[in-house]
Amino acid sequence: MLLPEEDEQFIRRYLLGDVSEEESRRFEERIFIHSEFQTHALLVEDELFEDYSAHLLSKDEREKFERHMLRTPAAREKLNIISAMQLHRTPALSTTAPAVVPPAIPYWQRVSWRALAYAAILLVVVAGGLWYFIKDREGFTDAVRRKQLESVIATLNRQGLQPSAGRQDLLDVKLTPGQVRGDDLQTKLTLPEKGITVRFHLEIPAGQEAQNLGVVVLNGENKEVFSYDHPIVLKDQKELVLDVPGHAFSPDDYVFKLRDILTGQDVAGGDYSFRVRRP
Amino acid sequence: MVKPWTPSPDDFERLLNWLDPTDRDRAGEKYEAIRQSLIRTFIWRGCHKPEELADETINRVMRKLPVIIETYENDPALYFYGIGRNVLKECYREVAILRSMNEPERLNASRQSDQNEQRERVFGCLDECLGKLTESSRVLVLHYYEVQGMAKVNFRRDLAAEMGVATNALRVRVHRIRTQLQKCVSACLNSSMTMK
Repeated sequence: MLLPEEDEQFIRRYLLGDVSEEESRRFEERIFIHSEFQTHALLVEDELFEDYSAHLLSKDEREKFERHMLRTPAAREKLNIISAMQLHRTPALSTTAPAVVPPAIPYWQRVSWRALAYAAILLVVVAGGLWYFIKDREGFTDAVRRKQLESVIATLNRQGLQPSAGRQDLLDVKLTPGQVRGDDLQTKLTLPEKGITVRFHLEIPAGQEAQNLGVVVLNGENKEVFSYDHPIVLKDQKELVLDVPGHAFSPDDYVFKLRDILTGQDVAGGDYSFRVRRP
Repeated sequence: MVKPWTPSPDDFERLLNWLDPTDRDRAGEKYEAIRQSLIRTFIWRGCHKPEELADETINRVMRKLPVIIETYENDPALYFYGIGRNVLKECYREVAILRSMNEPERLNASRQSDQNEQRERVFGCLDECLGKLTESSRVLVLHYYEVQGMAKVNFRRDLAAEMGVATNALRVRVHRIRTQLQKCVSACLNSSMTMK
């Protein structure tokens, strides 16, 4: 949904308390009747918080924001969180009051030898514990492996669809929903152990909102191999595309399940099965 | 002393029936949407306890329903809004009292002294809550906030194009992730305050 520019401006003015009571009434009636309009107002509100935190509001808007939008503890907490998110990746853009920075002291003068000894003992204990944990807890190593895999998948897909022409390391695989896992008719992939990326094309079942769909992949034991919430949407919202490193799959039967990322529910008719084997 | 009115199961049933007499699930969805609209309105009007005020509004609607159900012809959501406006006046009185009780000087002093400590707590909780998101949501939300200032509009438009979604769909996704984060950080801050 895209609202006209004047609606965005009006929402902004309402949120800053810059409208008459009659205009407020009309605005509020609209959010009761049109849920999409309410969603849009929430997005504009988010941006006002961001702009305030990044010092992008004019002096007048800034005063109105403080007077009208920062009236409750919940609003001040929201501002703190948005500021923290901006600082999380952009320390140079910090606009809140700078923290007091102590004078620089060389690190060797700051380190106490006793503290160092405690740290060394702690390190040995933690490393030993971690080794024991990793060695004996298969579930833990699985979880670590899965997190690493999801991280690689996120990196592969974050930059959008990379051209496939001429790439020997890319295998295009088209999957249609409804194939039964273990069935002889299901798609079979012959994947080497290393050096290949599989580009899955999943045909979206009719009636599904492509932008809200994520995927989860289960192996033959119905264990989750990985999940990913933001596959690329192509062909007029009728196809999801996802690049996955080939090493994610050992020989087994697998199924992709579509999941509604807003509700967390599996999508009916959104199963795509395939079998992986080695050359 | 006047006993506060509390709705019975029949009152609630009547309300749902009014919202949608044919489809119970749809009635439930409408009820939830109306409640959210009330909460948003109270928040945007600066009320301190928006959820309580929304529930108070719904109770009043349930109480009046037997009287108006036969004659009211407009969208039921607007009736809730009309009653909500009366509740809003009471909220304004409460806010005025709260303001008169808080001396600005004292508020400022406490803000200054607590600010650094509060900021540290927010950062700690944010890290913890980011760790609870799925990898893809975490990457997306951090990437989204990576560029600020005037450049962010183009950056987010390009990001949406890379992901193959409309800019607005991307905004909605990030809004939902951020709302989830805010709930988590808020709970984390409350628990750290309780432990102090």
